[in-house]
Amino acid sequence: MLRKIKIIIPCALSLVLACGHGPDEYEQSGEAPEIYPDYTSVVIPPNIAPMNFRIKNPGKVSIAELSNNRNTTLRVKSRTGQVKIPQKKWKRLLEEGKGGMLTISIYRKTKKNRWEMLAPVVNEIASDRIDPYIAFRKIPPANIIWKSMGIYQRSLENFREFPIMVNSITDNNCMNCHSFNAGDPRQMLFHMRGPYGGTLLTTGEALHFVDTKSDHTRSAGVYPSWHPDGDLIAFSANMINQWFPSRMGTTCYVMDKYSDIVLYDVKANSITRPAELASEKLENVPAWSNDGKKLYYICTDPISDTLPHTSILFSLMQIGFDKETRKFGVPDTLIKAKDFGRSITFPREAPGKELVSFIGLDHGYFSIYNNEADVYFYHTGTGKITKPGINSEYTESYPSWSENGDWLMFVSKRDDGIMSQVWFSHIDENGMAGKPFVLPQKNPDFYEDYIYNFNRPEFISGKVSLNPRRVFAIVKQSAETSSFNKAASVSLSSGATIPADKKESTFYHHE
Amino acid sequence: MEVSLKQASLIKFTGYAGFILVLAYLFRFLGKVDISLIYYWQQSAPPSLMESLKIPGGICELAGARFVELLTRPFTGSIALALMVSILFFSLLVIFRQRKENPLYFTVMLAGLIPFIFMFPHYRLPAALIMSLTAGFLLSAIQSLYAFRNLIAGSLYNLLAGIVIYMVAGSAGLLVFVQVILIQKILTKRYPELLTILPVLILPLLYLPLNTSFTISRAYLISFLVSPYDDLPLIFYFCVFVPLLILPVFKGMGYILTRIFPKRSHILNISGIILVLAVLLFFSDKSINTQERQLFKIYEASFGDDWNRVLDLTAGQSRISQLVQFEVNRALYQTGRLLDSLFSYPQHYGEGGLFLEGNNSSRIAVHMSDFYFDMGYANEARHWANEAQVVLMRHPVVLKNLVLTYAAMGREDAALKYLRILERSGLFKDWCASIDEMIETNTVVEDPAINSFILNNPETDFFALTSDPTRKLMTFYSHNPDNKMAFEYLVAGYLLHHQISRVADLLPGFRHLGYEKLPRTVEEAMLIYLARAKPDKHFLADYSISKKTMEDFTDFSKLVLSGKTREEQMLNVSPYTDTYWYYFLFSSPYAS
Repeated sequence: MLRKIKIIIPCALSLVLACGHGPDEYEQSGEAPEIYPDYTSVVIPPNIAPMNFRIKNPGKVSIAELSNNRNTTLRVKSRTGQVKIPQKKWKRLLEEGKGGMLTISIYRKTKKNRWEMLAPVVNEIASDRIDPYIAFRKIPPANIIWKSMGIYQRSLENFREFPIMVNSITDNNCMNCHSFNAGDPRQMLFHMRGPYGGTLLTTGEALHFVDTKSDHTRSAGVYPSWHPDGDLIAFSANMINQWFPSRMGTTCYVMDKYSDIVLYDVKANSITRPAELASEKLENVPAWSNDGKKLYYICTDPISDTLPHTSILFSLMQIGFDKETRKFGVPDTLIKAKDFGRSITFPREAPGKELVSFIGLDHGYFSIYNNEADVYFYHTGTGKITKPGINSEYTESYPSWSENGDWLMFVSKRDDGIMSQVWFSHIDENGMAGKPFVLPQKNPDFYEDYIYNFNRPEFISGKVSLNPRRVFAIVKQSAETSSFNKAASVSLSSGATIPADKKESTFYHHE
Repeated sequence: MEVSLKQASLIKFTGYAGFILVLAYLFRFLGKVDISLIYYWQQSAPPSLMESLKIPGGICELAGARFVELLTRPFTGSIALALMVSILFFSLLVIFRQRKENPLYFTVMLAGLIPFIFMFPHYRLPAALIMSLTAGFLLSAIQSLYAFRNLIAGSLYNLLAGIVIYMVAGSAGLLVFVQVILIQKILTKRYPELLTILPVLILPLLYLPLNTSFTISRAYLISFLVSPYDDLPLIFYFCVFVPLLILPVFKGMGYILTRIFPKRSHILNISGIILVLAVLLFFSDKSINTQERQLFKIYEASFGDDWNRVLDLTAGQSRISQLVQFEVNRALYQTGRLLDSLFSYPQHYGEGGLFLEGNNSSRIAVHMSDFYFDMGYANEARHWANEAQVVLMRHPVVLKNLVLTYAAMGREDAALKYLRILERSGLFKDWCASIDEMIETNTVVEDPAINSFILNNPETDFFALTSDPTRKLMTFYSHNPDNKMAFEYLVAGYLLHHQISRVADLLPGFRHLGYEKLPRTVEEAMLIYLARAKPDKHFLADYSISKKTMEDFTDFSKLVLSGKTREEQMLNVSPYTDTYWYYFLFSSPYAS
């Protein structure tokens, strides 16, 4: 028996607009539509790809009617419950409705051949555009063995996905840590491991394939961050190990025995090891500020084998940087992990906002395996820490910002607890976050049986011109070895340029 | 050559009769091959149709996954293979129809089937490739029924047909197609039309802009390389090039033979068919790799938990692979004989026969996942299933283990994700439905495996060391002293590593788990311990060592002492090769 309901005024208005386009006669049901992925009450970019969904409580026939505040309406009829929205009409709907509401009214035909309308879904169309592309790596959820993986770019304005590099043409080697200079598709790097080992670097003018290993650093460059000027890259140099817990519920712990931060000079192909960032402590995951005048990073005390891994907490640091002299200032602790009560990782400064996003977790820094890892904001103006309401009971990790600073992208395992997907949230000028939504896919059921992780999503302002064949042509030549700039690496404390201590790691880097 | 109508009918009759005989023989042969073993190596839940459409030959991969499921039932499997052979036979008849007047027509066509038939005992040859070949022959034969005289129209026609064949059957199919065009043009002597092959040859290049992940070599070899086992058997290449191999027979041999026997063409035909059957009879048994068949039978039995069969299949073997030793030890445990009969098998690999950590292969990881699954060690079962899945994406055993471990963790969405993939397999529909219902009704704990996972989940966490599985097991056992499998494997691990004092420390565990007497191998080890150390009189945890074991030990010691050289000693104690003493002194990897 259907229950008639009263509908609040804004919804009623949109219903009135919709009724003219839906079935002629219908009853209103109090039942809310269950749609997958959850695209309800979200703030969406005006240039996002059609947010196709499946109605989980459909009728024999369902009609989804999407309308904006300007009475532009489009209807999609479905017999399977899958709603695949035509792209051109969707674009028009969003463009015209920018800054207003997007109402989704769902009508379903019951077994008695009567139409009923479910409670409408109301979303908001932001005026702020999102970057047109993102890049990510796709990998299966394993820790020791790998086979197929690749770095891809995906248009956010449609469903087109292009490989930047796939390992099927390079003997299934590992590849990781793709990174861009402020989302510039012409300035990119990523590491290739194994038989085609090296770092592929494109500066807009040229492509370089370099080997950043040095006797004076703990490892080749791992986690990168481009200086905004494009001539320097801060890399962490890590000795990474992974451990497998025995209790159900946790997959893996990744811990570094040692880590430093080194600087790579793109033009000179040389490495320096600044003493301030290559101390006995563990410095890790560098991230330049948007003006390039400081470097954020995380740091913890040297790790002893006797300490339980759960006691390893990283603090959030910043250090000033003089671009002219290429000298660092004095490290400054922004958030002391012990005071915060959690470990900190993956800091990233928001463009145009006084915010640094980061991940807070119970211990360590490799947050993707920590269910409790959540996104936080550090307000640089006030020193306040806030936790936006975008987190879930499962892992959130690797937050990054759109070029305009209005969209936060992160990975989350909330869909099933095991696979990471790309999620977006609108962040307003006050740092308030909108309910996040998952990267739209052409097939609404895509995530239900997709068994690859989306890893390290990065915004890009355009399409990367690299493709696997082009990359392969370069990486099949051996990488050019980087030099070590001893003069610039003199330790402040000892004045020596001693080689960094190297202990065996179980693997180079495998996120 | 002119052939009379009567002779032509006779040739046709004997030809089809020969084909029926070949099919009849095929059924017998497939029984010997034991075609169900193909499934146990290649098992995989089929990919979705959308996934299959994305790459050249993807549809054949989907068909191949369905096909291997059919093979699990020998009769339906044999019917399916007979159908496949029939498709190939009739495709060849169509492709070479211009030579149907030739008295050797049927003989050669039947001979052309021989490599296909001998392909089936190659259990690892991906079914997707076999499907690609079949589809390539079928589609090429259909295409060959029509031809355009005009070069441009002919080229366009070939290009369109090539696109269909390339997308459906991949490069294996395309290779067959190229041969078929070539043969058509040569047999009909329309040599200028050979140019119509060119658009087909560049087809993979035209695909490159659509898929930037493909290199030129990958575009041309995709369905060969799509296989995880790139070392394809030689017979496969024979199959691919059957049309080209047949062509010279018609162009050369056929001409000569029909000149020698101009008036006896039907005799030539019958003799030829008899010869083909004789070749089949003679070489078919030789084409079976009995060693591989035996190996896959063991895997089949272990995946099916038929542990007595695992032991039957391996009884009396002195040299077995590490993986087989691992499965044998699992079988010994599952049949309650691990600690009594451990040394009935060579155990050349020491603890490597109990634990496979350190082998970074997805194929091995499936077995490890199953092992920890049996033990109730959920996180390790899941971990190794994940590792296995890297290569064996849709392996049913992997998917089942993931479904159950995630269900035990309460990650129902994750369990359902893997369940949805497994559901695509016709063989697991019922299993999936029952688990689906359990998840739906929130009764997963009623499943014995899930219940075991929950019961055995360690209260406090510890790192599962992949480099030291015995230590990992010790920690797991210390959390679960009631876990009999963990206990017996731990004892076996210590025995195999000569750590007898640690076995002695575990003796109270036998009492805890209710063993009435100490297992034979433990008694044997304790006698060595007694001979070497001076333990406390209660170290046996109130057990005693049987009189028979003590007498045997005395005898063994005498026999060892009576030998002057190691070889002589080994010869003297040959009646005791199935004892721990023999392992300890002579056959263990740690024995000096």
